Amino acid sequence: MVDNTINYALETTALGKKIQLKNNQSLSILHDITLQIPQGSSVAITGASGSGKTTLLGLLAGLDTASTGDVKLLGQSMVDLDEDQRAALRLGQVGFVFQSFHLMNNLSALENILLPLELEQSVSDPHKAALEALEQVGLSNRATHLPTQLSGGEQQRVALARAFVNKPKVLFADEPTGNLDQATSTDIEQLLFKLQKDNNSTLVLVTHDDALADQCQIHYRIVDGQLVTEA
Amino acid sequence: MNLLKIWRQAWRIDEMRLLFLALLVSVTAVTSVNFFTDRTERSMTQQATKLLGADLIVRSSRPLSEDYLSQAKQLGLQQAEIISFRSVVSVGDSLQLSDVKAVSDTFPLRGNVETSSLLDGRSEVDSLSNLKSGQVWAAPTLFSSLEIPPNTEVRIGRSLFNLNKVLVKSPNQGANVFQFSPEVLMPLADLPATGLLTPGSRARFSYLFSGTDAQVKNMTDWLKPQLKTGERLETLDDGLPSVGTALQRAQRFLNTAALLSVILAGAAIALTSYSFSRHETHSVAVLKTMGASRRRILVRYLSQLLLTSTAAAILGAILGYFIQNGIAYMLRDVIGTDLPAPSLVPLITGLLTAWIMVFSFSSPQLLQLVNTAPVQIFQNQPQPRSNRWKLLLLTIMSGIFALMWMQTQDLKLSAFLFLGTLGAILVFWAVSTLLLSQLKKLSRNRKYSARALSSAGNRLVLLVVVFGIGLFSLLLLTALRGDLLDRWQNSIPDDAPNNFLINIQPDEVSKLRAYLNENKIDPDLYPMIRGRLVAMNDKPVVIDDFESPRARRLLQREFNLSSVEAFPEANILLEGEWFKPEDNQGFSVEEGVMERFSLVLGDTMTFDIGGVQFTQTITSVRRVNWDNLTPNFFVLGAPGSMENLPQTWITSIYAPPENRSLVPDLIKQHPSVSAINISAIMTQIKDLIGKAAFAVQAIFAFTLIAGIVVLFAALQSQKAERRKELAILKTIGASRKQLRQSILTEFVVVGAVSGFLAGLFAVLASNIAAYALFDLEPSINLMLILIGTVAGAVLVGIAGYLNLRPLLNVAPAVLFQEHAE
Repeated sequence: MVDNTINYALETTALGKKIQLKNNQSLSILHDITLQIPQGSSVAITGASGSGKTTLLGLLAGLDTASTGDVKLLGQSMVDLDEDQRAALRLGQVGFVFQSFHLMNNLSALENILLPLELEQSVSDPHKAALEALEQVGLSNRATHLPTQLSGGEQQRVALARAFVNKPKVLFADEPTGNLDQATSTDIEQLLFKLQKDNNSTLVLVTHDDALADQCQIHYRIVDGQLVTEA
Repeated sequence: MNLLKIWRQAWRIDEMRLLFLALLVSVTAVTSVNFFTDRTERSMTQQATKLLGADLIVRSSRPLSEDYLSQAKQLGLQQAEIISFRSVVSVGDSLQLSDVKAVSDTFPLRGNVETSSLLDGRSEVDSLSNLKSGQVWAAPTLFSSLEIPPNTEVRIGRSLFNLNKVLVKSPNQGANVFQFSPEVLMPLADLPATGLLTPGSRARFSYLFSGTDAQVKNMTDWLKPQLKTGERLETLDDGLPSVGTALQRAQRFLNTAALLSVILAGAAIALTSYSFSRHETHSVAVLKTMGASRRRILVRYLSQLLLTSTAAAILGAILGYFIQNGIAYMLRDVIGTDLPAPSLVPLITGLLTAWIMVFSFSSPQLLQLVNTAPVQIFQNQPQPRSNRWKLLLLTIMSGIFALMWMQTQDLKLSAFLFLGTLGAILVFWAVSTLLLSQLKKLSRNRKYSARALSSAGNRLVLLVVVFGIGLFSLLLLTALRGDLLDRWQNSIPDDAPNNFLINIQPDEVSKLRAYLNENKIDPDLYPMIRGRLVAMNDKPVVIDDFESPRARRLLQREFNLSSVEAFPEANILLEGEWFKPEDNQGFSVEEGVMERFSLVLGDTMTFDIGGVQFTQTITSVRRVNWDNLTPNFFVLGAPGSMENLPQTWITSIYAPPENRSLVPDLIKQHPSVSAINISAIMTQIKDLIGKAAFAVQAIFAFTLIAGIVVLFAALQSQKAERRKELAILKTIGASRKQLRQSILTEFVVVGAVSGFLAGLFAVLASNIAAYALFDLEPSINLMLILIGTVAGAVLVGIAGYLNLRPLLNVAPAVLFQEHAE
């Protein structure tokens, strides 16, 4: 289904998102966004609060549908795909890291990491793979702990392990250090970039932290609903 | 995924545990009730079959076809035979017309015969195998009317018998009290020698059968199409009207009680599913970002729900079984220790209950959950989702109805309860919404605690509805148990008539009345005229025009007609007007007869009374209470309109046990009068009612426990939201005192409003139930509304406060942390 020889992990053409307001008017959040993100690169998207960063991330990952234009994820246009088809496209190829971690509270650290492997069903020994991922984030001794028994930094490590466990081609991160203190943030940032390099994943990072954004190869800023490339 | 893993992961979700608890409570309630009713119902049925003497009787005017008997034999049923006829029993010159029953020694198949060797002696259980050839047993009235002691030689037909025992109690005697003369039992084998059974003689042949439920059902199914004219099937339902209706009422009470616990638990399940689907929104979105399809997510949650509900059902059924055993043990003095073993049906009902509940109450929310847009992962609060409420309402409603039907197996009762519940929910919802908007208006510029109340939003409406329905169930049950049960039990007072005096000649009426007055008894004496219904609206009656077996039976036998001036006490006038003293025209007819023959007010009925055609117009319709043990009549004529027709008189009296000679002396003075003692049958009926009352009370206690658990479950389901709210309020400087006040205000108001509405509805519903289902007179119990309001405010206030109090002492930062998790 996916052409392995493509050059771009993500491409958009004239992408736009409007939302309908109550008084029958519409508000354009994003418009005319055209970008190409090469495979294996790291991209940061910054912007003021409410500028549409997260909306763009949702569109790029196929979590939301565009009002105009198209997004190609791993060479596959998503304009004509329904929700389940878009989910199938993400399966095993896309990872996510969120600001508030979003671990499943009823699953242990290990079970959270196992989740994507169980969904994908392509790894012969998911248990072993999950343990390795846990080890990579330095939490192999916390495998059976529930999220409520972990600190914020530990939870985000588990989230990173879960995101990278099936070696995703694209990793989307939404303010991954937004809920963490400075020291922990630095740890998580380092871990994030290390895992991205090790897995040769394409990283699309949304943040309002310019220092973090500057660590990426490409830095876009959203201004008035349009994408501006930072120097 | 293996089962254990699914179970472990599901168990870690707060709402899943709550769901499990709610299901456990409801299944335990339903199964313990069902196990118990299953056993008591069967016990009561057994009790009642003892009155009938069998499970099934075929009565016929001629000997029964051998086919019937061989079929019964083939099906493995036990058999007994009775040939009964009226004959004179004589000693010297004294004669007494008696009801002679020649019985096989297997009689009775159910219940016992009790005899005594002395007239006033203690009675003991006896067996017909002790009735040897040449012996007869007879009812006490035969001894008194013939003035003989036991062990006297009496003549029946051509044979002489030794009347050696007093027959104190025998089954199969209550079928038609009006046609009873003293009962005499003789061995069936001695019958031919008496020469009384000739081809033209008017004997009645009864064949009694008993066996397991399945055997009896097979036999009944086989028999029904075979029956010829003059043959009639009699079962518990139609054999003994008084016992039959008493039993039916008891079963309805028990089922109603059980159902209310189901409704109660339903509220908890709905609430829990609601908060479950809300809290799982983020998990679903996460799964979707990972590429899970809707189907995968659906399967994931369905398997969790299926496993949780099955586990709750199995554990609940086991608990239910033990609780039922406990109840049966506690009530062993009342219901006896020989309850039949419980069947497996309640177990299956328990399992079905859990599944129906969990899937009908949560499937729409589950579908909604599965359709969560993955982009919601970026939103902090799950979006309110209300577009599916119609579907949710539909599945919940069909679920509730299915549960009701399964529980009662009575469509009418289910429909009644269902509409009642639906109406209650709608009114609770409407009133609490109205109340909320009023409170919002009121609380502007008021102090903090009142403002908090108005900001509670839809949560308040939800609580009023849930608590209201819960309290409504409890109050309705209280009303049914106390109010209805009392009235029902009182419908057979202690001094209810225990003797029927029949065959009183018109010229004896005044002397007999004087004798009874001397004994401080003021009897209602009724003339009794026997007539066959021959025409309606001048059109001759043809039996074959009627399909209903009851209508056909009425036409095959003679009606007992009467005429009275005063409207009979236990009757209710439904249509038309009662006779004025000067009236000498018109009929007042029982509603069932009107219905069976499709009669309306103004139609005419013609009776053949001893060759004379007697036609009158129907001027009123009555409902008759057949259980009140006084003479009741299908058709009453205007006062004085029947004076010239051939008649005998009838009355029922209460002969106090201390006045033993009252009835025998009366018979001596009026030899033609027959007295029928119905104390035995009455004791049995009272016993049955007493047992039913105890069973309902036991179940009531259980529903109360279920109600309290549901109350806590409802509070628990809102705890997360409140935790966050309290943290915010504390952060912005609300004192503990203010918070305590606001919590108390909210819960007390919620409790009072729900309690008030619950009380109001319970009064309405119990009266509708009393009238429509149990044939009792309505009565308004205002105390119930007051009790509901106060109990609601106190109970919900305390429960709500206790539930949230621990949160008052927690530092706001911790609250936030817990919420974030």
